[in-house]
Amino acid sequence: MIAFNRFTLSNGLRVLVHEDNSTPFVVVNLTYDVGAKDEHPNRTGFAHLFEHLMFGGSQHAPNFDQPLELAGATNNAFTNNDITNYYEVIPRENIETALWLESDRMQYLTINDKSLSIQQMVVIEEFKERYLNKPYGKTWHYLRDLAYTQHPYRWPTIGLTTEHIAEARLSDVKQFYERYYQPSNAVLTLAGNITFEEAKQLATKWFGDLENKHTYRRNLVPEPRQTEARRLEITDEVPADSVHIAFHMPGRNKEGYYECDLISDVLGSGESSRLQQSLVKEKKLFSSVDAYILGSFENGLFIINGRLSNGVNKERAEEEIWNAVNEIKEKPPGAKELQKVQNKVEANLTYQLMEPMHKALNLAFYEIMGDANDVNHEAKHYQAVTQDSFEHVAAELFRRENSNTLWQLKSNK
Amino acid sequence: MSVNRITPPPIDPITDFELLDAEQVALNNGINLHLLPGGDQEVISLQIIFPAGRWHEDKALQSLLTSSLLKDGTSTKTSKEVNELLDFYGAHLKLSSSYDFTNLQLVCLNKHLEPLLLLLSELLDSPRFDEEELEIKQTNFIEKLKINEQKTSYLAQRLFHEKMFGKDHPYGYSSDIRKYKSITTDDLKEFFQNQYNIKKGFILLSGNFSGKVLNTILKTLEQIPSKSGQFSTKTHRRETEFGKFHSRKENAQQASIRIGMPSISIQHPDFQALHLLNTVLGGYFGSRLMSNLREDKGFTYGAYSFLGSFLHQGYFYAGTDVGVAQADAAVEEIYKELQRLQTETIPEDELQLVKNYLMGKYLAKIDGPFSQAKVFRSLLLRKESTDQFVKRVKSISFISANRLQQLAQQYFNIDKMVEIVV
Repeated sequence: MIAFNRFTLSNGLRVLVHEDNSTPFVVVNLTYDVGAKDEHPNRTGFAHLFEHLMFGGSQHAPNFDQPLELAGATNNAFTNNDITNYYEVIPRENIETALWLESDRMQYLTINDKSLSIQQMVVIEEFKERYLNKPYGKTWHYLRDLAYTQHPYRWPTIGLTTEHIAEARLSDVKQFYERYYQPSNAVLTLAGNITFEEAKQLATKWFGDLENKHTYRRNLVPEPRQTEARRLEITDEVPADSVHIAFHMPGRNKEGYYECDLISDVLGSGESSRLQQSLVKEKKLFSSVDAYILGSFENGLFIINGRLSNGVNKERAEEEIWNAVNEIKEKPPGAKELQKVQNKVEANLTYQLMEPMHKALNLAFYEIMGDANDVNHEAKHYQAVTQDSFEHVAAELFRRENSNTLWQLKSNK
Repeated sequence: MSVNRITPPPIDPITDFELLDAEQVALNNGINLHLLPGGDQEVISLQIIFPAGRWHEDKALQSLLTSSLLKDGTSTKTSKEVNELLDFYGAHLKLSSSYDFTNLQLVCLNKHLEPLLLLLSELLDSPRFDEEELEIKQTNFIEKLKINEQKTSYLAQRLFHEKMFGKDHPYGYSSDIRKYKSITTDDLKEFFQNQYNIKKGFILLSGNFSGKVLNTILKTLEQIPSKSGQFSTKTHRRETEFGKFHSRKENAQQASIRIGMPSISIQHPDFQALHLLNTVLGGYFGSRLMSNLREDKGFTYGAYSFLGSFLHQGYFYAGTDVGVAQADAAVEEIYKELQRLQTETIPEDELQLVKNYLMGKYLAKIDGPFSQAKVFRSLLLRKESTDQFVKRVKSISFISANRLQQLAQQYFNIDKMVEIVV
C-alpha cells in the first residue's frame, strides 16, 4: 500500500505526494505523457532524442546538471514507448534546486543547433552501442515490426534507423516541445522526506506560474485484430539460433492483463517454471528460455523467447514450445501452482515498496494511465485470478493466428 | 506573482554523515552475525559471506560453478524441488561469487521465513552437485560466453584484466570453453568443503525483523555444522604487461577503449583522495571525460574512469566505446585529460561541486537497511571500522586541489600504461 495525497495546479499539472521520513532524500519525479508511440513514422526515435536535449540547459539555468551535482543529488531520465520520465534523488534540504530546474525546463528550454547536432551524434553512438554492435541487438526492431502493422508500438524507442535521428531538425524539436511539454501533460511526484504541506507550497511556488499553452489529445491508430500467423526468419551475426514468439494481449489495467502476467510466471519465470523445467532441463532443447509480458499501456505483447542448444532441430524446438503452451490450455495450473505465482507477485509487490524511487514511479505510471490510486489495487487484481479465468485467457492468447514468430539464425560461414 | 528564477535556490552542502554500528552477535558455533534493523515492510535480507572467490580457487572457474550449482539439489531434494520451494514462497535466493568472496543472499517475506531457513540449512549441509546439472550449467555458460565474445566491450575488458593482472592471476584470467569444461563435480565438492566455511566468513541480517524472527534465525544458524575441509589462504602476484594492445573485430560498429594501470587499494591512506580525483576525471555525468568525449565532441554515449579496489590489489582505468573512426582521437583525448590533471590544478568551483556530489553519493549508500548492509559487507571484508569509514568520507571536504595535482603526478604514469583498443 502506497499512501499518498494529491492536488492539481490551475495550469493542469498533477502533483502526487508520498511521505516517508525514514530517508534523508526526496525523489522528485516528473513524468511526461509522451513516448515513442507519439512519434511521426518518419521521425522515429524522436521522443528519446528529445529527452537528451532536456539536459542542455534552460533560460534561467544554463547548466542543468551542475546545480544538482552541487546539491549532492543524482538524476537521470528514460524514455519508453509510452512515457518520458525524469527524476532527481536529492537531499531534502536542497529540494528547491530540483524544482527550480525541472520547472524551468518545462517552459523555458533552450535549444540550439549545436546542442541538437551533438546529441544526434551521442544518440547515434547509443544506437550503435546498444542495438547494432552486439548480437541480438536488433531483436526488437524485427519483432515489433512483425507483431504490429498499424499501431506505433511497431518501432522501438531508439527509433527505426539512425537516419531518422540524423534527419531531425530544430523546427521538429520546437514543435515537439510545444505540443507535449506542457503542465497539463505531466505528473509531478514527490516521494520521501517531505510533508504534504511543504510539497504543496513548493510545487505551487515553482510550477504554479507556468502557462499551459496546449492540451494534447492523443489519437492513435489502433492495431487491428490479427487473423493469421506471421513469421520472419533472418540470418544474422548471432552465436546461436534464437526464437521469439509474440502474442497480442490486453494492455495494462485491461481485463485479462493480470491473467497474462500470471500465465507468463507459470510458463517461464523462475527456475521451477514449466518451460525452464521441460525445455532446458529435461529435454535440453534450449540453453535458456523465458516467458514475460511487456507492460505496455495499450495493446501489449506476451513473449516467449528461447535460445537453441547446439545441434537441435529448430522445427522440433518450436513445436515443443507449442506443446508446452497447449498444455497450459489443457492442463491449467492446479490450486498449488496458482498459489505459487500469486505468492510470488505478493512478495515482489512488497519488495518494490522498499524503494522510494519505485513508489514514486508506480504512482506516476498509474496516474498517467488514469488514476494513481489503482496502484493500491494491483495486489487485489492478482489475487482475484481464478483457475477459470486463467484458462479462459490462455485459450484466447495462445492461438496460432495470434502468433508472431521470429527466428534469428546464425550464419554458416 | 512570478517566482524569481534568476537567482538559484541556496544549496546546503551535506555535512551530516553518521552511520551507526551494526549490533554484533556471536553464536555458540563461532559464527559472527551482524544486525541492521530497519524498513517498514515485513521483509528481511539474510546474507552469508564466504571467503570463496576466485582468489581462493585451486582451479579456474571453480568458485563460479560452485556457487551456480549450490541451489541445484540436496541429499533429499532434487534441483526442481528446491526451486519449486523457493518460487512457491516468492523468495529470492541469490548466490553470487566474485573475485574475493561468495555472497549468499536470501530475501523473503517474514511470514515465509521458517520453511526457507530449513531449506537454506539443508543446502549448506548437503548440496548435491549433480553431474547432469553441472553439464547443463557448463553448456549454458558457454552459450553466454559466445554471445559476449561478439561484443567489443567484453573483449576489451577481458584483455585489459589479462594484461593488468596476468593471464593466470585470479583477477586476470579469462573464462573460456576449456576452463568451463575441465571443472568436475569433485572440484565443486572440494571447493565447497574447503571454502564455504561459515566460521571464516560472516552473516548480515537486515530488514524489519522482530525478536521472534531473530530467534528463529539464530536457532537455524547455530545448527550449521563447521567444515572439516582445509581452508586455504593464498597469495597471488600481479604481473602487469604494459603496452599498446590493439586488435580488430570484423564488422564492429564501435571500438572499445580501456586505458589504465595498477593502483593502490582501498586500505592505502591516499585512496580516498585518489578516488576524488578519479571522480573529477570520469566518475560522474559532468566529469571531464564525459564533457569532452560526449557533450563536446559527440564521440560516444558514455566515457568514464574507474578506480577499482579488489580486496588485495587495486587498479585504475579510463574507458569508452566510440565510433570506429573516432578511436584514435578518443585515445588521444583520454591521455590529454590525464595530463591536464598533472599540469593544472583543478579549479575551486569544480572541486567543490565534485566533493558535494560525492557526499550525496555516500549519503545514498547508507540510505535504508539493505543499502547499509551492502556498505557493512565491504567494511567487514576489508576490516575497516565504522568510525574509520565515516572519518574517511568526511575527510573528502579537506582535500586540496594541490594535493590532487600531486596525486595525479604520482599515480598516473602516462608513459607506462596498459592500452587496449578492440
